[in-house]
Amino acid sequence: MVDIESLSDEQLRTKLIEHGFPIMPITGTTRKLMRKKLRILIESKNDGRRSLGRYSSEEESDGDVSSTKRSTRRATMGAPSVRSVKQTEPEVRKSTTHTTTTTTKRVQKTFQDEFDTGSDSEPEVIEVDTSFSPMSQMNFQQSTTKYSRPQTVTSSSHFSNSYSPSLADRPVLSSRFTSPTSDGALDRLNQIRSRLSLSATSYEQPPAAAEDEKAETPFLSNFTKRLSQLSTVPKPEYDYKNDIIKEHDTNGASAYIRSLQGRQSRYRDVNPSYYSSSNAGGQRNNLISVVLLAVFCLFFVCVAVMYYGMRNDGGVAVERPGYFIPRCGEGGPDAKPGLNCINDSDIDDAVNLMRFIKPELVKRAVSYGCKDAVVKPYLTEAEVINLRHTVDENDYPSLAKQMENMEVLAFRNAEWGISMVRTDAGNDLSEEHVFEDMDSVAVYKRTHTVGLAVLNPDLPLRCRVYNKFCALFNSALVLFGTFLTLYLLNAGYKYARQYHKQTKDEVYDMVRRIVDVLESNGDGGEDFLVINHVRDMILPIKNRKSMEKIWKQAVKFINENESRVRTEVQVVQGEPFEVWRWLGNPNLNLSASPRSKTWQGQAFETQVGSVNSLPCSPTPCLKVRGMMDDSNDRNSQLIREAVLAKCAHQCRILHCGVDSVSKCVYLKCADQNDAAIAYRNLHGWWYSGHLVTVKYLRLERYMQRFPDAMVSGPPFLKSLSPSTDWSS
Amino acid sequence: MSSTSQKHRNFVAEPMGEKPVTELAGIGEVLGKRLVSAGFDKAYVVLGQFLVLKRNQELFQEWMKDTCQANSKQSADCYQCLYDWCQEFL
Repeated sequence: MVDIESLSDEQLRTKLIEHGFPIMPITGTTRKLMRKKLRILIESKNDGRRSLGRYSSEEESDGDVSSTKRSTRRATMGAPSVRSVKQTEPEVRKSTTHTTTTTTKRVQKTFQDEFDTGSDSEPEVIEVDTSFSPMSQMNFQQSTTKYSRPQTVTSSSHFSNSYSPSLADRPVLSSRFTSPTSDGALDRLNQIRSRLSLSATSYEQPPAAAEDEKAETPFLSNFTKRLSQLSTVPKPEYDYKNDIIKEHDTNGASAYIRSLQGRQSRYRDVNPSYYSSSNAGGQRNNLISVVLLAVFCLFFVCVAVMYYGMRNDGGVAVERPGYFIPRCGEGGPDAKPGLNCINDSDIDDAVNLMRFIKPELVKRAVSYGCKDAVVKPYLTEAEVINLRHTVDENDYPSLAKQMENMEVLAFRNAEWGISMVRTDAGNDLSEEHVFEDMDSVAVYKRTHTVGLAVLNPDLPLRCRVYNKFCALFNSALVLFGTFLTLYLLNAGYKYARQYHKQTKDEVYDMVRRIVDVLESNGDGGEDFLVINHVRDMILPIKNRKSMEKIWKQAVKFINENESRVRTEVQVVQGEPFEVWRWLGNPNLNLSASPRSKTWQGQAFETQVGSVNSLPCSPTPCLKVRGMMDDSNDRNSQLIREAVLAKCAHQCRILHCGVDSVSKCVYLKCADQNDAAIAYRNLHGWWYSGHLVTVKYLRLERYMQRFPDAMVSGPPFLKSLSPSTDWSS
Repeated sequence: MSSTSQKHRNFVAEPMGEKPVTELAGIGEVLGKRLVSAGFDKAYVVLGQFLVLKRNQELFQEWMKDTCQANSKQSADCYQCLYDWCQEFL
């Protein structure tokens, strides 16, 4: 190994590159680190190589075992190993122990050839051999004995199609593992012997079991082996350390085969078990959600059952015999049969009548509540009696008496669900149509017909759902209607306000224009104007009709509220007209004079290097605040002009927009330098009594606000008025 | 790392200028003293080393471990701090 410490910087770098490490500058502070890194890299690489060596060391240690093997290996080198296997196979089956050994030897060689990856062995591999432990031996035995025959049979049949030169490794297995049935001590002895290149003796006693195995499982391909090795994950109980030690123990093949055995059987067994376990895992995962779902469903089912139970209780109670029956005689002197008590003899008839009409009532109530509202939800007394008469041959008076008795009972037994109702209120029955007692029934009976009804029948589910849905729909409709009304009211209110405001604005505007006209006229010779002429001056012909209302309001406003204008009647061209005379003088001039809308000097220093201006401007866009005090169109034009007059002669301005909502002026300059110039010219100045402040605005924000702003110039905006040097 | 420390935020918020090495996140008095004795007295010197190691976290942490016996938490903090600073200002 190279001495890393003595490497020069150049060598160190080269080495690092060799190991696939990115190139780093190697300086006084990093040299140590790089050396460390290189050491780690080299070590890790060695580790990798060593592990490689472990896996490829099989044939190497095999070769050490005996020189005879080596020679035979050379002999078989050229010949296709398939043939050799095919030839040897029948031999093996009928051979003596001796032939078996030779065969296996040869077979071993072919196996070795196949797995000869050409890697050179390392001495450590064999040194590890000494750490052979009885424990691993035991494991090994267990794994070999676990290897059961039926499995091998299936595997051989399964892979018989892929008959290849590599099939030879089964015999190796059998010959190598002569010891599964022998005791551990003998096996260990054999291992030691083989290590001491005394391999020949170890093949002296191949047990019959080995032969059987050989016969049955000759066709295990390398493919299978590799597949199984790739696909199997070490089991928890599978001691990898033991595996390694084992590998070094006798030779690679043994370990290889052993792992093959273990894995093979595992491969066969594990596949189904893997599926089953994964299935089980999936089921377990699903199980929780399924259980949760089931509990959830069960809860609702329980609730539903309880609900139905509660509802059914009322219905079931009808069938109970324990009715409350007010008997005449017990009630004292004021007991009147058919009104508040019932004679014993009539009880059965009354109850029978009840039982008879109850289903009919329920049917009617249900069909009324569900299907159609045409059917009356009640039966009148006459109808009841008629119905009863069709099945019962009693005469009408006795039936009427039964009827009365039944009514008395129905009042006393609320659980029957039969109520006496007024019939004059139509079909919509509710609690308020129900009679409170028998006396009111008797009073009512004189003038109207009394009906019997079941008020709250057990409607079928579909019907009930339908009713609920209808009710829901109705309430939703009502709610919707309410909201719609509210919304419309709100919208109407807003619109009215908007309209009012707009009209007011227009009137004010009109007044302003009138005053302007009068004012400008006042400067001239004539100091009064005919009102209608003023209108004609202001309004274009096509607008006169539509603006008439506003005009009248404006005239009214001026007559009432404008002190500088006097309305009088003058004779103009021989005809009397209402005229406006301008009385205003400069002292009364309310609107701010144009003179005050101007730059009034600088508040603070903004030249290059001062604290108030940035060293370099980040964007070409500016946002100027503090220029607008109130918003109207003329004002914004004025302000735009003022801004341009202030800075347009010094820098190139692409776009200038006045936003009356945010009360800001937006400037877009040709580039950052121009923006800086504009910034210094505007920031910190007084404009008509306001301090103007400027901020830089990001270009994308600017373009968002003014999408039609020009991207590049020329033309650049220029001020209309001649530029003034404000800096003085 | 769920959130960053106040020190980290302070450092990343502005150019490092002439800040001492102890201003770096993850470097306290002890580590700072060790770094100063190793010649790394200012934060920008550590930044230089950080850049020389090409912002490689593994190497930088290894270097910090070598230079001032920083533990992995400290070196990771310091690395993150310099990394974020670079993201911001470099």
